[in-house]
Amino acid sequence: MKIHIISKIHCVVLLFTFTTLIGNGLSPTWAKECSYYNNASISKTTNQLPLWATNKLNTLGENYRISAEGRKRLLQVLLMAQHKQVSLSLLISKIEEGLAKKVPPQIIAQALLKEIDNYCYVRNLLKTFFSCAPEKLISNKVVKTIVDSLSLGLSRKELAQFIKSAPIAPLSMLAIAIENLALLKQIHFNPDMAKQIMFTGLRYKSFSSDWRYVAKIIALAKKRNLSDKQITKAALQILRHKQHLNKLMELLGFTSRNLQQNQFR
Amino acid sequence: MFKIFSLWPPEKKNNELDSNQDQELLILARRLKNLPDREPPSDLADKIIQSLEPKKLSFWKKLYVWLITPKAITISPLKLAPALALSLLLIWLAFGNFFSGSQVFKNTQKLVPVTFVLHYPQAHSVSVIGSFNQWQPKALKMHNKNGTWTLEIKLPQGRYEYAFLIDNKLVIPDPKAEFCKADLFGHKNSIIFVNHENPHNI
Repeated sequence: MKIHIISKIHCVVLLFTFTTLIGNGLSPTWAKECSYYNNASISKTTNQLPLWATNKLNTLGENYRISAEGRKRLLQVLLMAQHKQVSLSLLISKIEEGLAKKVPPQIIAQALLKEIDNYCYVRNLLKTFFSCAPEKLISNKVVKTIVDSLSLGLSRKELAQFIKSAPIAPLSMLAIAIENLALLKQIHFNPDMAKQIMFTGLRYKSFSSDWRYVAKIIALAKKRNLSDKQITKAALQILRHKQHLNKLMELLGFTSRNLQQNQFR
Repeated sequence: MFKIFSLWPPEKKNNELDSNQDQELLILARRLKNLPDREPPSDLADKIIQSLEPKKLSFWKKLYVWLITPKAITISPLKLAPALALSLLLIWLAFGNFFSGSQVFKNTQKLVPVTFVLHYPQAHSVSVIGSFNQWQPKALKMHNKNGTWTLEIKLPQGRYEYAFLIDNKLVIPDPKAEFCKADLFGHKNSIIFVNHENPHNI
């Protein structure tokens, strides 16, 4: 079999065209994007959003068959979020969640507005109490963790009071403390003792990333009928010595076996 | 030499050469004979060979010539088969991720096994939806055994939100979960902690 090629330039051009088409063809969003951009009224609105966000929303719109009105509403909210410099990826994740739960787009839009409001509130709070920290140093992860604490059961007032009275510590540690404070509130842990644990962790700067799971350890300890006072005493001792969370588990009498039996949920 | 050629008569056919011309040619031949016998310059041969050598082309010119020169490829269908298979394999490796529904298990982080359990005998189908699978209901379907639905998956470390989707309609949080979070849609998500750094696999 003999193949005659006109010239190698043609060959390169053909190969490039072929790979581009194949590459785009394999992308699940490509075909949908084409149909989406036919809708001029919507694409005009999306001009200010990053392309990835538009593509994602479009894919979700097609997969969950969102009405044009619903899409428009969600886009408006995303544009507002962009204007207020709120992370779009987090909001899109919320849209995904709402759609998977069969929540109507209008309700999703309301939830997003609430989330945006929480973001702005937390950001302003951090700016107020950490004015020395440049805004770029306040990471999205930290803001998200603190925003989540509002959905975990902490009120805005409680959050503001905690941040106001908390010892100076890195923001990542503050986020760990706030998240755990909200989780401990859910299991009805003594609020004063919970604050004492968190403040000690911040004061001694002992909240390394593993301490994010301390609320779960405390929940298990409570299940083993350990009192809040006993747990607090053990936690303070470990935090003052800047030790690992494993040490607290050992001090509370946990073994590998009984922890595996209590799946962390 | 110039003088010699200047003596050459104007264009005429051979048979039309007259006697005068014959004489002129004879004179010319005589003059040529009488020319002094000189040796050619020593570098004459080199100069001639050099002038006959092809000119050296620049790299880009060579490349251009190579590109525009038509080529013929001879392919054996039998030998083509493994090459085609290899090409398909490479394409699959490059674009394979487009075919997968879930990206949960593609994480390069250390994964920790987690078991979800829900007792719900009246359900026809139950899925786990959560932040670890972008809330996709099709990705993680649970298995029924006497009304108890279970699913074991492996997750990278972190804190995740999840819920159970019953019959693709009803969303409920895990009744056994200790922590939950308001989802802002009027429901609650359960929270799971996964930590591989801990030796106890919590």
